Amino acid sequence: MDKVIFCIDLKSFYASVECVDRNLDPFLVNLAVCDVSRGNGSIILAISPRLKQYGIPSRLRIFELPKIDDIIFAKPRMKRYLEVSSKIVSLYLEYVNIDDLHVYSIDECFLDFTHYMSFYNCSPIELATRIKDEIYSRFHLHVTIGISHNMFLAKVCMDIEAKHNDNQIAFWKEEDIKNKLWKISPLDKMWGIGKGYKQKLNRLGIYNVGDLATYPQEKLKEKFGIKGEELSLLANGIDDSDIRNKYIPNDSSITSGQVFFKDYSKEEILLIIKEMMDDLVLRLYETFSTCKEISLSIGYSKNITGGLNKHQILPFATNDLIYLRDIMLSLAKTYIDDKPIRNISLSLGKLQSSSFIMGNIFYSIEKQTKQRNLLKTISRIRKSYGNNSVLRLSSKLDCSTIYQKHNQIGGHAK
Amino acid sequence: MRDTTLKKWMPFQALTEQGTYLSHVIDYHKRCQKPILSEEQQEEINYILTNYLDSTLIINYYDNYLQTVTGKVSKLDVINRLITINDIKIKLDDITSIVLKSASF
Repeated sequence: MDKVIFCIDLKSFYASVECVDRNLDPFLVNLAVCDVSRGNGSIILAISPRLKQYGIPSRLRIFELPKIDDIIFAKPRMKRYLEVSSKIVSLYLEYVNIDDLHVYSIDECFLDFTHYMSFYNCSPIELATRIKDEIYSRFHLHVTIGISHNMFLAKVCMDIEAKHNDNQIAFWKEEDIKNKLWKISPLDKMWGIGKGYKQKLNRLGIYNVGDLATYPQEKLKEKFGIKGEELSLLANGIDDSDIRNKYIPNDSSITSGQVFFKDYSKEEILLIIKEMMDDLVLRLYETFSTCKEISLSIGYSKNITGGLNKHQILPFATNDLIYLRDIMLSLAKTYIDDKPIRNISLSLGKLQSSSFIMGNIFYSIEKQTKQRNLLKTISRIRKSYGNNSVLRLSSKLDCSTIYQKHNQIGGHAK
Repeated sequence: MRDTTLKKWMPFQALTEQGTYLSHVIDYHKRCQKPILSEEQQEEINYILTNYLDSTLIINYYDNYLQTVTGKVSKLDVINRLITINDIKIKLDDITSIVLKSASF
């Protein structure tokens, strides 16, 4: 039996939410979501469908916008978008079980309707129309739905065809692989191929997906390894991914990073590292994990360029704040040059469960317990009184960014 | 054997906050009625709770929805009718079943 996979995308999600909250129609209004207060170079997160008609790329900066008078600038409200997004996921869960849902991003979801078709007793397109109408009546948001018998075709069908259809729904069957998938050109319009692979494949004389599908698989595998094999399969419309078979990476990490609006000196960056480590270790503690690898990467200011990327493997897995912070600081002190710094990213890797901790004769267990109790208390205070309730005193200095960081989600205004 | 996991569909998690929002949604959808136990089931739970000694237990319990915890009992408070296992406090009335995982004797 062929599977029935839906790929549902919320049409210019951020911009549409802003329009709906202002009682405007996203198809009639020029609206751009961006933080104007950050200056002319700040990035535009989303634009309304009407603005897209001017042929504007989806990601750009304010000064790249064409001169149109009546553009509304909306300040991003990430919290609101997450709220709406989770409400919509909640709606999907009224149609399918959690096992048959895969949340791909804030505005894209995959739903496996294979085992539900006899229950809903209608054609996939009718079901898609029903879901589309329900989302519109509840949230006034427009969606694009691609339907096919595997995840890849559903996604490509949505990207390539559904977005241009009047009803925003498209259904690809077996024969559409030849008729529609193989016609895709240039290559990077297909999911899974970026600019780099497009150039590499062009050099082999492959210019559309059909060429890629008919190119000998062994040669692709020889050239690009596993990725080559995968591309060949995808080009033939084969994707065995099963939504029920969730992938759990066996090596995970947590990362925290930020880009500064002004140059930071080495001394200031040490303070920033302390602040970021506080938050990062707290996150580690709250997910009941310990880490075994620590890494630091720094980018210098524009006119100097370059940066560094250092990591250190720890002798034992730990979630001890002082221990981890001291290692991170010593990494920073040894390797960072005295140049202006523009971005930083810290990461704790090789996460393990913290349900057991290996004893270590060089580091007393009493100290660790004390630290853990401290984290426990901080975590509880922050949960009831907000993230800014417990901070180190140095956060009061001008160069501190922790207040801004706590008022943002994903680097954008809450 | 070709890979059937969702490896290539792993979301790019730029927004860690989305995870917390989603877990709320999923918690809400898992909610169900508290199961009613028969007398035999209650007796079985009682038997294990009085005879578990120091063995590892798998406890299924109800807290908005059915959850499972595996571990050793750190405290059994008969007066307040609470059992503590892996730092989780469970009301004795919320337990739906217990399995002895391994005997220590």
